[in-house]
Amino acid sequence: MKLRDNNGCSKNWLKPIFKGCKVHGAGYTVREVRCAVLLCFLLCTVHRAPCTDRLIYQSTMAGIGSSSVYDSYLSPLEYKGYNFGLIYEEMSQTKILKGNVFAQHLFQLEVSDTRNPAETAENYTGWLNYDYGLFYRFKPVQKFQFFAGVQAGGLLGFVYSLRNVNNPVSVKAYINLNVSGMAVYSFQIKKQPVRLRYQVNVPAMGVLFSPHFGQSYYEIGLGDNADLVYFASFHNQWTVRNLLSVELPFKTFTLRLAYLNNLYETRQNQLQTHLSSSSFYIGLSKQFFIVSERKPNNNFINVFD
Amino acid sequence: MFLTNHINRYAVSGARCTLLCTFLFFSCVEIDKYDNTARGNFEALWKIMDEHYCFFEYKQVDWDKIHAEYSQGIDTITKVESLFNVLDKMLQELKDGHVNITSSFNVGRYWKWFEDYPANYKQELINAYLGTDYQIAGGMRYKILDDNVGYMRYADFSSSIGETGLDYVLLKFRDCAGMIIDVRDNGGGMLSNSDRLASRFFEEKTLVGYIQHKTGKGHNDFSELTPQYITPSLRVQYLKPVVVLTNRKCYSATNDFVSAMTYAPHVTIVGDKTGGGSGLPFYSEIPIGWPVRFSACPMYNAEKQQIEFGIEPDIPVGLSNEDAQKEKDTIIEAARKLIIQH
Repeated sequence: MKLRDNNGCSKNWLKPIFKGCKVHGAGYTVREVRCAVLLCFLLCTVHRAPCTDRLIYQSTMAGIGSSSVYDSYLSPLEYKGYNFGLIYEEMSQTKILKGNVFAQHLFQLEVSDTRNPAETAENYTGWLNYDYGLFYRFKPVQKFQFFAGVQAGGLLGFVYSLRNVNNPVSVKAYINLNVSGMAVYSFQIKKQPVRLRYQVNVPAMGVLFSPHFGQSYYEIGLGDNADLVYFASFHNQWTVRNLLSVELPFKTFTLRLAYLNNLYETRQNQLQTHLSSSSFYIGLSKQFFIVSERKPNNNFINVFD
Repeated sequence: MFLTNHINRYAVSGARCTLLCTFLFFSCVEIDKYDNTARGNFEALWKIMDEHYCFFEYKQVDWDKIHAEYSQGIDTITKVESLFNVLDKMLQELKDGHVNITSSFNVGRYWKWFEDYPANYKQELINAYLGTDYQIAGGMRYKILDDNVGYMRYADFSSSIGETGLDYVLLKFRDCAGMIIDVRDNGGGMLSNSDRLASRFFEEKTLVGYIQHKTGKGHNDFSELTPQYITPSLRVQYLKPVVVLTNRKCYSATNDFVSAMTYAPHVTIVGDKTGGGSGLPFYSEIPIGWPVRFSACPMYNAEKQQIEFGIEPDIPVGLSNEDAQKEKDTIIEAARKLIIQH
């Protein structure tokens, strides 16, 4: 296999196939042509389905912003500070429902450093979130696209107090089914293409981890691990992720600027958590083909065309 | 007409989208807001203790009455030190060495659990017994006394106590008649060190206590008791006679260690009653930024009895001034005699 861009086919993939055939000066011999014809026939007849190439959209961004952390297991006070984050996204068309369904992998990593109002204590927060989603695409009018779908994913993280002893850390963990939607609007400013995208993820149901009101992790370590996982939905978990981005395709790269607002809140066992952040991201995105081993052709659909 | 219809449609969509986005940015968790005033800090501290402290019923403390008593005059306080003194005094009503409020200029404390009793410990006597040729392994200082009794001083359960170091200490004492573990004046530290040390003196898995936690904000909202076991270490064990020396300053993790060792087969507790401190402490804080520590999870012995106010020794022995003048530690001498006679 060889990666190529979506500007056209490359002949380089043919070289290994022609290895056994001799080349005499300019042009090809009859024997070489017969090799090529036979090979093409084999490739196209062994696999009866039409040959298509899969276009992948990929984006990587880094960001910085402000964070607010409240965890009643650690402190009754709200901590505020700054955060750093990374977002990696991959999206591609699937074969479901005649290619109208798109799959998305979304990774998000965030670490933050926050302090109490009196600036006498410090917390570190870190979490990794992954969601896999399937979206159905609607194209109601030209230049507008809407994606609606579901995601399955989870988060693993912690809030760590540098000062507390015996209750220094609050572990955050959940697995959820999310409702997600995306709106995409493509336009031009003078001759510069612009793609505006907004995505919102809302976990609808799942499970989350929570210790009991005054339970120590020492006790959990002793084996007191009953009733630590709870059904999560809108009665005890309110989480939403808003991502607004602008993509500016240039000649050799596409610049992506984004604003991310994260809100993660839970209420369980009379413990409350509020983790929120507002961050600005910058990064690059690209679209590329993964060439299948079938006969390549130009039958492809851009993810965001 | 066509243009008007399009504009209308997008305007409605935009309004709905805006509303949705606004709604989605809205927070649902209500964060308690406390003023950084004398009253605000007082109420925050009182509430933290009210919801999280675990010994109100056991100690028969009427926390609402204390609120009424200490609330008077709070609003007239203008100095930070005055506020600290009032809050500290309120916390001392709990008579708990695990309850402290800490500022940049002072640490509030209740130390009557040892201040009101004989010390039963003199460092200069320990120095005389150890001399200058003792060995050091982590937080342990150890040597063999001249009557072939091993002596190990462990002053702080916060100090490391490695498995390999323990192996060396116990192997050093393998030909001794027995060993003394002196944990007097050890105010506590890490429970993991307590468990690690105790595990060297048991032959089989033994129930040594229980722990529970609060399940809610009520003074009686507690979980079921979780058993605590000592599992014998797979490394060097010491099953010869052991004497653990205690005094009133044995607190917290030391209290837990002594409680566990009372169930070890070859161990005798000699000295004074321990200071107690069986509540596993948690931390919180008040708006001014002062951290507050408090007992959150009560621990019990294997008979489910409270050990918050200490553990009686098997053989009570006090330090004699006459012996001290002869550079003799009465408690160590009693332990040596016990081991030799065993």
